[in-house]
Amino acid sequence: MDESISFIEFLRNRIDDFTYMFLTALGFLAAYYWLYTKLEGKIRSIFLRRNIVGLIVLAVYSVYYFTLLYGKIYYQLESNYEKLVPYLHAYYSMAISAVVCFNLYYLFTFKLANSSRWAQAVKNIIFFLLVILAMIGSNWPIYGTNLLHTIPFYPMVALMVVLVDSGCRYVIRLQSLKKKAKELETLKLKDQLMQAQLDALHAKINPHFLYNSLNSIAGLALIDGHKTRKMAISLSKFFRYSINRENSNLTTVKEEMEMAETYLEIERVRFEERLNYEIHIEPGLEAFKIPRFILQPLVENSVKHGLRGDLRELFIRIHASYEGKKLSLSVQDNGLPFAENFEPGYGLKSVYDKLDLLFPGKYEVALYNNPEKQVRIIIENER
Amino acid sequence: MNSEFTAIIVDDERPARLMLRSLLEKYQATICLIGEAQNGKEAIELIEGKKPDIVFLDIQMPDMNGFEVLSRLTWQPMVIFVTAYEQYALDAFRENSIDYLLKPVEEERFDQSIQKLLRLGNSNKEVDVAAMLKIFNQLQPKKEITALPVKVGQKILLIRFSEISYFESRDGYVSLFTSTGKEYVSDLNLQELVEKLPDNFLRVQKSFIVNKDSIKEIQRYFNNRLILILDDRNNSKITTGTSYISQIRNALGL
Repeated sequence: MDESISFIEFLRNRIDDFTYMFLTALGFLAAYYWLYTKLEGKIRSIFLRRNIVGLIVLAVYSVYYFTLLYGKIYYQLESNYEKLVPYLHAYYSMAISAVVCFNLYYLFTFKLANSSRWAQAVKNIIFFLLVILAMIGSNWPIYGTNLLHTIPFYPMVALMVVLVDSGCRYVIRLQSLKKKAKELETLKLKDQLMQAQLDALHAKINPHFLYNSLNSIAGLALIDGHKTRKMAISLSKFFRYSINRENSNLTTVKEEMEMAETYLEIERVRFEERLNYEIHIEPGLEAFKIPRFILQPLVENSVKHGLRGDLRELFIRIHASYEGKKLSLSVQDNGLPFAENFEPGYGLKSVYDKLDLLFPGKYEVALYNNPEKQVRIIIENER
Repeated sequence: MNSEFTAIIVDDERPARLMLRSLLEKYQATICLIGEAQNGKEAIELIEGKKPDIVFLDIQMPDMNGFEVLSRLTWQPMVIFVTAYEQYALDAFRENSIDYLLKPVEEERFDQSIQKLLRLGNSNKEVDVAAMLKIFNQLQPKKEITALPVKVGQKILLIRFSEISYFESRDGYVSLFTSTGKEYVSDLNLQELVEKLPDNFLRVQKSFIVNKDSIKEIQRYFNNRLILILDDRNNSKITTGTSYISQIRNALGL
């Protein structure tokens, strides 16, 4: 090439090379981006960390580099080599240098992935310089000492590569941000779902219980005014607790025990001397937080199943005690033992569900037939 | 004791019996209360012994329900059911023209029932008690089995089906593995379990039952077999049996 040629003219002469290079760089980056997004989570990180693409490209690049060197000597005999090579060369060299740079860039900056904006800028400058170096390197076999002529447009191509790269990166980041937002949304939904589930669990108070209790009130009204009043008050206390105005999911051992007692008081009016009970809280456990309505369903089961059969007198014992540092809640009764193929009903299931939602993995519910028939809940320290 | 009719009240709660007794007071001239029973067994004895004309029968009692009581009687009295049931269950009563009173019992409604009974006799006699018992049992909320009891020493633990990832039979014992990697021994054998467990449990091999919902990945294996990788703590791999392939394909929609 003539040295007197102006820079503008030089660019005009090389406009095809320029376009090819740019388009190829764009194509490769798009392919890389496509591959990147196709790969899922774990594979993606292995892929990038081990830089498999980088290694493959480096291998291809080395083969190309050496065939080019060898080919120059070999093909020099052929007449159209001079016309063909610049285009082919420009095409390949640009593409390959872009991908090499891209991979080198990943290789060097992987650990900076979550760093600040300044670090990103530094990375882009390093990348920019790497592209130029790679292009100069890949052009050496063709142009040899004439390499100086081609230097002016390298920075431009490099700039474009950097811009395309940043664009890809931005899109990827945007996607991951969207994903994160979605995850957050799911989490929020999960929270709402949990609340809804708890609400549903709380709301399900046996209507039979209400009607039967009211019938008892109506029956007692003409005979025993005091008992009637007590029953009405107990019933309203119990329902106030079950309506749960404050919408709280947790309560204290003391309060839950009181409600179990209120429930038993109501049932005692209905079943009279056939039902007896004892309630005990080990000192210090009163304020321990537990889910609302985890004792009452167990007590209800005791009453429901306990008075079945020939049993004349049902005795229920509710205990809250320390089990090491854990809380143990136990509901014992002298009813028939749990059958071998015992099938838990709604009440017990609701106890599990509430504990699952509020104390996941931190509780145990176990049934015993020996030495006493009992259901026992063990809860690890307050949440 | 020269009233026209004799009556018995059956209810497991004394206040409920008091209620009916007080409502009956104004019919003293025509209806004489001759006894009260507080469970199904007592009721049968009392009714068979005293052969009353009218029985006020509670439906929900601890030992048996009102229909069971009726189906075991040889003496057929006129019956008024007393119940705290919800409306939906009562539709079946109405369709069978069974007279019933809702708890808490309204005085006006009680009077209507008595007057109807005294005037027309009882329509309950035509009711097919066995059929009614069947309808009634169907109306009961179905108990959905959601967990499996397993014994650990003295304890009986309930393992929810959703927690179970698979069952394996080894040397005559069936082990149950939860998604958190815990192992329990079940008293039942695999065949019994298949019958008891819900549809999402699948026999995939002679000695394995897998929870369909816990399958994370399915890989092909030679000879019409599959490798199931489960979503539990150990990422358990289970190779399916050749003879189960069509059932598995059906169940998993492969």
